[in-house]
Amino acid sequence: MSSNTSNSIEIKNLKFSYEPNDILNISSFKVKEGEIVFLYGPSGSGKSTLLELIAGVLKNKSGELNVCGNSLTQMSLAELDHFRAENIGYIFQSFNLIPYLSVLENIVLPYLFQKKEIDQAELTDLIKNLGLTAFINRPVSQLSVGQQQRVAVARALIKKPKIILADEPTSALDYNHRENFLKILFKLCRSHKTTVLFVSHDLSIEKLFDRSVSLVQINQIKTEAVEIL
Amino acid sequence: MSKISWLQLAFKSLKNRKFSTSLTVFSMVLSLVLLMTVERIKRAAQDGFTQSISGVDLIVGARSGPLQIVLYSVFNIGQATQNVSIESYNEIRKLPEVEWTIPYSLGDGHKGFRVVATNQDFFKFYQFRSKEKIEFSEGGAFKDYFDVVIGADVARTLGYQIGSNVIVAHGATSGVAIQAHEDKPFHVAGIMKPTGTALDRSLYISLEAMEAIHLDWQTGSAPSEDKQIKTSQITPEMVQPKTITSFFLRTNSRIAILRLQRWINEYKEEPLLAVIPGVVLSEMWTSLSMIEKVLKAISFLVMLVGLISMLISIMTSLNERRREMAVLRALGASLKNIVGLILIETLVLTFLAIFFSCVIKIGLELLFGPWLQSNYGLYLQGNIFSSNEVFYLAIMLISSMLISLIPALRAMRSALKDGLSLKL
Repeated sequence: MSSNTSNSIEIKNLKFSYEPNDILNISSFKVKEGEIVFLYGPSGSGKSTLLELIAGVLKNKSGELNVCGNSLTQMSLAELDHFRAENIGYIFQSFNLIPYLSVLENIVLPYLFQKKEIDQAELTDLIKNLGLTAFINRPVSQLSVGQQQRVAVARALIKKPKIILADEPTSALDYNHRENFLKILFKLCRSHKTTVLFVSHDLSIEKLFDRSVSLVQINQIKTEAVEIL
Repeated sequence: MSKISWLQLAFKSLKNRKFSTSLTVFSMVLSLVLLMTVERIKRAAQDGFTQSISGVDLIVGARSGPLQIVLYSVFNIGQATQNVSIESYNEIRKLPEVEWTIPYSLGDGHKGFRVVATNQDFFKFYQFRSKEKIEFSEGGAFKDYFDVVIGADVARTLGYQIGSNVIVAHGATSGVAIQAHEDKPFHVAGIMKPTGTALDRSLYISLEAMEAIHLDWQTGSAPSEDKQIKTSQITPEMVQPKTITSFFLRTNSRIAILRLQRWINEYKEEPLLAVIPGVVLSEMWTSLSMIEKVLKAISFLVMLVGLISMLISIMTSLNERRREMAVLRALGASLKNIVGLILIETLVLTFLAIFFSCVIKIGLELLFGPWLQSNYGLYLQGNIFSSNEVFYLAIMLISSMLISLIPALRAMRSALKDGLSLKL
């Protein structure tokens, strides 16, 4: 099947296991270009594993995984690293930043893996839009958790990736900050037409997304954590 | 804002761990400085041994230890206990197998430098390094009684020029003399070119002058004013030398050396000892090189400790840096990049260690060079870095790179295992 360019992510019959435990078996899952998708599931349901597969850090054993028109199954490890540097912006739950670099150094860190030059005007814009102008030369240890997560967003967006993968980036924030954070993130992603796949176990933010998908429903493997629920 | 490089990243990461980084660099520096210092001193000693004197077949002095004769005659170290009478010297000097001799009369000093009384043959025959002769940068050999020729270090240290007054101190080859020959000042007649040997740290007067300044010292101490003999009253007969301390001897043919040595050692008139300088020096060198080997072994052990401390410091940091590695992986770092980062960090550590050890080495040489010269006769000559020292630096670099493969591969394995979802 040729990949459909209007889909950012296409998954068909994807199976993945950490021997001897099967983790994922997803028969079909698609995310359209520019779509902002909420993928919820309890801890241990394989959310992070799915993100790592899409980011090309893990290699899937069988099935099809097309991301931004690339078939990740057929790529070598080096090609996957290059693909990740080019196409994926990643935001962690916490500890996103390199502690010994300043805010600005953290933001431009992705250029370590690319030959492109920094677009100074866009960098300034991005920093301003995220309200980080006052902090850019500070050590990251002086920032609050919310500020740190905004730096992580800046870093994820600086290269204009096609997809942002976010692994519960709001779980360390309180409700008000959560909503603000997401609004800024979505606004920036919409203006760049960036696809967002956001995983969380926190259903309270579900309504802010274009679409919401339950991993438990698309994944045919029922892990212990899911069974407890 | 410009892009950040891997080198900058490695630098900042090391800076972030200032304490363990500086301890690691310190122990690496320590081992390199130790190794290079041992090497430098060995080189200076070896140069001193092989270069201070050449072309001399025998050194003859009153009977004492062979080593002692070589040390006080060639290296300015120690003193003779007995003298050689001028009659014995003259008899040996006139033997048919003797090509030339250089008499030495020691015992006086000037401001910490040794005063050697000798004759014109010293300037004619003395050889050092590979058959180099004494040359003058200014002036020439002594002609008058109270002419003095000074070595290059003496001129430089004391700021003497041709014509400067020199007052010889009695019986003190180093330190402060109690009594001085103030009534008979010398004038600098010549300044020798630097030789890099003990010659540079001596003053040379004639044997007659040595007699002259001691003429009125028959009781062993300075004469009272009424008993002083004026310079104008001195006649050549009065200052004929009666004893010398030792002399260098060159034979006509090398075959004669052993026979002549035995003849001198069995000399009936007075107990003398003739030594072959090469033999004594090589014996001394053998015992010294044992010490050198031990020191070198210790230095290599210190280097090993330095490398192990580097290994431990990097290994212990790895666990707390797993999150950092996951972040880099998410941004597109390959496993090769992770290995590379650890290698670059080690490279930075090693270059810092090499840089500081070289700075310290040069500093130590500037600081202790003069002291080594005056106290041990060790001249820090030639290139600052010998090929051996460069070799040690290279060993440090290569072995630290090899050792850092251990943490680098470990970091790679844990990065592969952790992926991005490492939970702390």
